[in-house]
Amino acid sequence: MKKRLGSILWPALGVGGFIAVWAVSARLVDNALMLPSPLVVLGGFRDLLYDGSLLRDLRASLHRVLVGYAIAAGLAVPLALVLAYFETLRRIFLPVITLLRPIPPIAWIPLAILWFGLGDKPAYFITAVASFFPIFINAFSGGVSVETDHLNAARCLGAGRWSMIRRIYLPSSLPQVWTGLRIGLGQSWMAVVTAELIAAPSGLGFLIQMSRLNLETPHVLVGMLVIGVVGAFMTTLLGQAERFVLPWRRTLTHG
Amino acid sequence: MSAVSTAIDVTARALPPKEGLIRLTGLGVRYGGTGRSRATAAVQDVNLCIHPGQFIALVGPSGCGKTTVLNAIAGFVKPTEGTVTIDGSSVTGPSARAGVVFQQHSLFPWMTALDNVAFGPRELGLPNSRELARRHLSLVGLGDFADAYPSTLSGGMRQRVGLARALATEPPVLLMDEPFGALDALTRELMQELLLGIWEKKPHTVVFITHDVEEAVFLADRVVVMGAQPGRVREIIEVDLPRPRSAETRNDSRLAHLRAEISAIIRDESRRHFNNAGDGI
Repeated sequence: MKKRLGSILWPALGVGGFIAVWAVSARLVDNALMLPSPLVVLGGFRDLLYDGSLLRDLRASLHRVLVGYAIAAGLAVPLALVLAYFETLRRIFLPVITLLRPIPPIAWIPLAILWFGLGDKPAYFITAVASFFPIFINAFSGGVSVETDHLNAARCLGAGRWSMIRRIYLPSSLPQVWTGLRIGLGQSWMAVVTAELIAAPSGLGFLIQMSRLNLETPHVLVGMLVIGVVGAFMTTLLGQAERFVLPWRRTLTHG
Repeated sequence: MSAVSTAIDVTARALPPKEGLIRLTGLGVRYGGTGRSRATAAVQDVNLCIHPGQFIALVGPSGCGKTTVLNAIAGFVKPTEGTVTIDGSSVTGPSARAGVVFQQHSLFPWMTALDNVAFGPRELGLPNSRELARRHLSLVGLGDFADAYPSTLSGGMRQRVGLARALATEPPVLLMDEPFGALDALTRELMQELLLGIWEKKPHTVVFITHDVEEAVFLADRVVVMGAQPGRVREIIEVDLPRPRSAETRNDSRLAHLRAEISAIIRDESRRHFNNAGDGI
C-alpha cells in the first residue's frame, strides 16, 4: 500500500514541481508570446480540442507513425535476424547499414519530398527510416548473441536446423528485438513531427509550424505537450506489454 | 578389449548396459591452427576406453584439456588427430547419443523447467514427451517446479533441471563439465549423492569433469588424471570404494588415501608446468 502510494506521489511531485516552475517563470517573463503560462496553454488546449483540429492532427500523426513504424519493423527484424544467421550475407550487407545509419532522418526529408511529394507518403518514409536503424541494430545484436551453450545443448538434444531457428535463435534474440521495437517506436514518433514541420499539411508537427507562423505560442506549446504525453504513454504501454512478450523476464525486471 | 585400455571391468551391477562404449584413439585437438600461426595443442595423443555404464572422472591442472576431451566426445569440437567413437561409430558432431550437463547457464531461459526437460524428447519425436519430462523432473526432486522459469530457481535447482534435461532422452552417454563447480559445498554434496542415486539405478556411461579431487573419487570408478602442455593422460587411478556409495563413504579412509595420491600427482604436474613456463623468461 505504502509502495503504491509512493509510485503515484513522487511522480506527481515531479510533474507538479515542473508546472509550478513553469508558472513562476511565465509570471516573471510576463510575455505570452515568449512563454505563455500553463493556464493560457490549457485554454489553447481547450480551444483546439473543441474545434476538433487537435484530434484531427493527433490522428494524422499517429496514423503516419504506425504505418511507417510497421514498415520499418517488418523489414528490419527479418533482415537483422537473417544477417545474424548467415555470415556471408552479413559481410555483404552490414557495411551498407553501417554507412546509412549515421544519416539523421531529417536529412532524408529532401529526398522524401522529391520522391513522394507532400502528405502522408513522405512521412511514412521518414518515420520508417527513423525506426529502421534502432530496430535493426538491436535485433541484429540479439541474433548474434545466442549463447554457445544453448546451441550446443539444443544440438545434443537432437534439435534439427529448423528447430534451432524456431526454438533457440528466435526466442533467444527476442529480448533485444523487443528493445529495438521499443526504441524504434519512440524514434518514429519524434521523426513524424520533424516530417510534418516540413512536408505535411496536417499533424501535430504541422500544428506547431502553423501556430508559430501565426504567432500563437500557446498552441505551439499545446502541440509540444501532446507529443510529450502521447510519447510517454506509448513507452509505458510497451513497458507493460513486456511481461506478455517476455514472460520469463518478469521475475528479473519486477522482482 | 582395446590395447590402449587399462580398464578393469567394474564389478557386476544390476543390468549392465549394452550401449555407451566410448573409445578415444590417439585423440589430438589443436586450436587456432589456420594460416602461418602455430596451432597450440589443447590435447595430444589421448587414448582411453570407457566401458558401458562406467563412471569416470577427469581431473587435472587448469589448461590440461579436460573440457576439450569432453567436447570431442560430445562432438562440439572436431579432433585434428585420432578418432572418437561411441559404440563403434565415429562422433562427427553433437547428437542425442551423448547428453551434456554444462557448467551453468545452459538452461533455455525462455522455457519453463518442464519445457526445458521436454525439449529433447520432443525433438526426438518420442511419444508423451511431456509425461517423460515430468517423470525426469520428479527424478531430480523438482516435480513441483514444472512451471517455473529458470530465472526463479536457485543454482542447485537449475543444475538439477539441467541433469533432468540431459537424462530425459535416455542417452547411453552422459557428459558433465564441472556441473557442480558453482554450487556451495553442501548443495554440491547433495547433488553428488542425487547423481549417484540416479546412476546406480540406471548406469549410463558418465564422463565427469571436476577440479574437486574428493568429488572425483567419491563419484567415479576410475579417475583419469590429465597433465598440461600439451594436455594428455598422465595417470589412471582405479577407485575401489564399494557401491552403492552414500554420505558415509566420505569418511572411508580409502577415499582420503586416494584423494591424497591424486592430489600429489596433480600438484606435481602443476609444478612441472609452472617451472617450464619459467624457463622462457
